[in-house]
Amino acid sequence: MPDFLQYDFFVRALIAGVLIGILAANLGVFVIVRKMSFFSDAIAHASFTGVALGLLLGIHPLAGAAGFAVLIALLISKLGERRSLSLDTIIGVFFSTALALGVIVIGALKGYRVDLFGYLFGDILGVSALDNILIAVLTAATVILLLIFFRVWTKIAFHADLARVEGVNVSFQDRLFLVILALTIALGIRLVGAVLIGPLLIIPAATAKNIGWSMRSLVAVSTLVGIFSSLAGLIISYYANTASGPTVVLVSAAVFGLSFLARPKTAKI
Amino acid sequence: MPFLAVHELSVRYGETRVLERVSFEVEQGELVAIIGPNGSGKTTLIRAILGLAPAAGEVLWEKPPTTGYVPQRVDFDPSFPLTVEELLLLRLVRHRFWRHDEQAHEAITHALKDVGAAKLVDKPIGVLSGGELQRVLIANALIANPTLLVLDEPASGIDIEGEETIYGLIHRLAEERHMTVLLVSHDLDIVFRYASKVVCVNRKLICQGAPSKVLTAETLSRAYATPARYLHAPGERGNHRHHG
Repeated sequence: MPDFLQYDFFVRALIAGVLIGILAANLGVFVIVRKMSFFSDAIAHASFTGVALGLLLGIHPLAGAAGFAVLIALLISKLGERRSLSLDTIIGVFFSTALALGVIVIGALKGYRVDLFGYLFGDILGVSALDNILIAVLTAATVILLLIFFRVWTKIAFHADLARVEGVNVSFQDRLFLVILALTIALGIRLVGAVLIGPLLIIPAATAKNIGWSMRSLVAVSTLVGIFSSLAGLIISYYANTASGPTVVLVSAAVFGLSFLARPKTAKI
Repeated sequence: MPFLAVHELSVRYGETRVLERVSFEVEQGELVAIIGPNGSGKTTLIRAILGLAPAAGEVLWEKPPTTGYVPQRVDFDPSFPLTVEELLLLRLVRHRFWRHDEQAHEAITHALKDVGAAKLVDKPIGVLSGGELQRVLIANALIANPTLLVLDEPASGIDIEGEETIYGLIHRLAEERHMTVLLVSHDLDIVFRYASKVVCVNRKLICQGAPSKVLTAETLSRAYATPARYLHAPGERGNHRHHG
């Protein structure tokens, strides 16, 4: 038995890594095909502000992160519907506003809050059994919703009007997707931090898009890359004594690099 | 009651009037061509009829149709990772998506054969030529056995020979399946050959009726007259694209 399996905290980290790998990689497919990478980054930074707000208001930081992330995601989506400004402009405004608010809130917190930095860069080795139960529940719920709504979400991403004419309630489905995405991001920042949850969503799916040409292959490859990156990254970080979250992201980036070299000439990211 | 009655339909985007009080009727089984110059509101008209654009006025159906819609080809992202089979499978909700389903595969191959595209079943959407994508989109519209087929410039950007083939195909399928067809087109030759009715718009309704009766030099010059204010109004394509 490898020696890292003797440590309960490391086994918990491996379980959390695999779960978030599956969750992020699957949602990441839709983030990529809907061209929402910038959006997911903005939500990640907003959820960090949510952590700070949680600490200020005396509620659980993860509840603060989840609530604020969902709020910002829905606000961006609502304003985006008006089309008086382009979506990336709206995201840019919220991105910086949320961060600025976060910095002000941190300043208002009393004392030096070392736990805040755990949410900025993640602390996957510090996850509790309760964290893992939360992630497992969210992963299971998301996978079930994905199986139910996969065709609908794919159709909306492919052509929203086609979906509308075929009877899909596009606004409801969009909001459902955004809420799940925001919750995943909020939970993910506990593990890899606000700075690195974006790459965890995007890189496995982008890797899959390099070499896959169908939605089926995209979901399969993205999930495998997500799981592999989490496991390999954690194990490498154990032996190399490096920070866990960043090592996971670097492993997935290395796999992305390999897939980029292996991609068919016609593939576009 | 006709199959479709459009009554005083108006669409505004901010201060720009894109369509003003357009009324016409469509009988079951008709192939109706909607014509007009660029920016005249053709696409907006079918989008409003389909409930995709906010409009004032009434769109009344004899009974709610099952609609097959073929949007403009330029709206599709060629890098979208979807095979032709997957696209059509998205609508066959009773069949498995994740594993091979022989019945679904047969239904899809059959639908593609109808539009002369059976060999494209395993191809990614992104490698299809304009004509091939158009055929696949028509197969996608037809696979749910619609009573109404709506096509927005189905042959734009396709060479002349291909263009006639696509329209010939639509005409044949409409007759075989007794479908009503609404078709945006800018090609008057095609309209004369295939349409049973023509609706000309240039912000307002300019004419409607059988092509041989209403397509006179006078109505055409009215339909295609594009005073400067129309030209400067934002074009319909730019205004109404919906992306998720």
